Amino acid sequence: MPPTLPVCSHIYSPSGVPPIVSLADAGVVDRGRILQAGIEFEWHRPIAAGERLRVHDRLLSTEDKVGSRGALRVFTFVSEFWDPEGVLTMTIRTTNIERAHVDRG
Amino acid sequence: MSIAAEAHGVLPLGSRAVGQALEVRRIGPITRADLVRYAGASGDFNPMHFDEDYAKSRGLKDVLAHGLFTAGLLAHTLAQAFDSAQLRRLAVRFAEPVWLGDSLEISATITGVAGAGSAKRIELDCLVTASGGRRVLTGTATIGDPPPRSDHGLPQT
Repeated sequence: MPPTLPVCSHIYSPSGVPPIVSLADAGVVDRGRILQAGIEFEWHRPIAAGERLRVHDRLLSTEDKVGSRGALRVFTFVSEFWDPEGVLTMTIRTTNIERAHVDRG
Repeated sequence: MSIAAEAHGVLPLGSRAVGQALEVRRIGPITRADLVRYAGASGDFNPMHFDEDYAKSRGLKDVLAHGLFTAGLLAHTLAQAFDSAQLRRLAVRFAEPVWLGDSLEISATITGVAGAGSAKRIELDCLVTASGGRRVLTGTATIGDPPPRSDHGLPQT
């Protein structure tokens, strides 16, 4: 399996979109000002084709900062991939930024 | 296929040492078709990745590649150089945008080797540069044997 494929698991989620896009759809952030700042993958064990995993996404933190190009808001999400036996197979931490969020008024 | 990747070498498993570098992988130039294909594969249809007018309306100079497009290319490079099951951790920072037309160079250098046998761990510094030498992605990776299959419930093969 391509190692980073599980990051696309949101396709199969009820919303069908990544957590940050869910926030945009809810009007919390401006989708056009979202950028991805970084991501970390941890593979706790190999994932095989045909497995069924339960994915738990949560917003870990929100932080306002001032960068060289103005104000920005930093969102950190964590996604955990659990197998039916309750074994954690993979963890993904995603950092998104919303540029110049103060412009939205 | 619009993405052209040069063949890259595979380091022998038992001969990893600090300072060794993976063969540089060159990809590009990145086309709009590449970005649309990635949008379809990932389900991320944010128009800033394929709609030039939309991107410019949001203060960008052009459409830009998904960060995970670049991260996926790096992960694939590591998975080719090692065994994909040995990829234990990959952390990346998207330092600058990858623009339409950029060509990428993906490189990784071993910075640490610790442990022995199945507990052996290899640390790497990873870098992706774009046209003009811009550092668009920096990262670190950890390579090591995964837990035995019997420990995680998968069928023995």
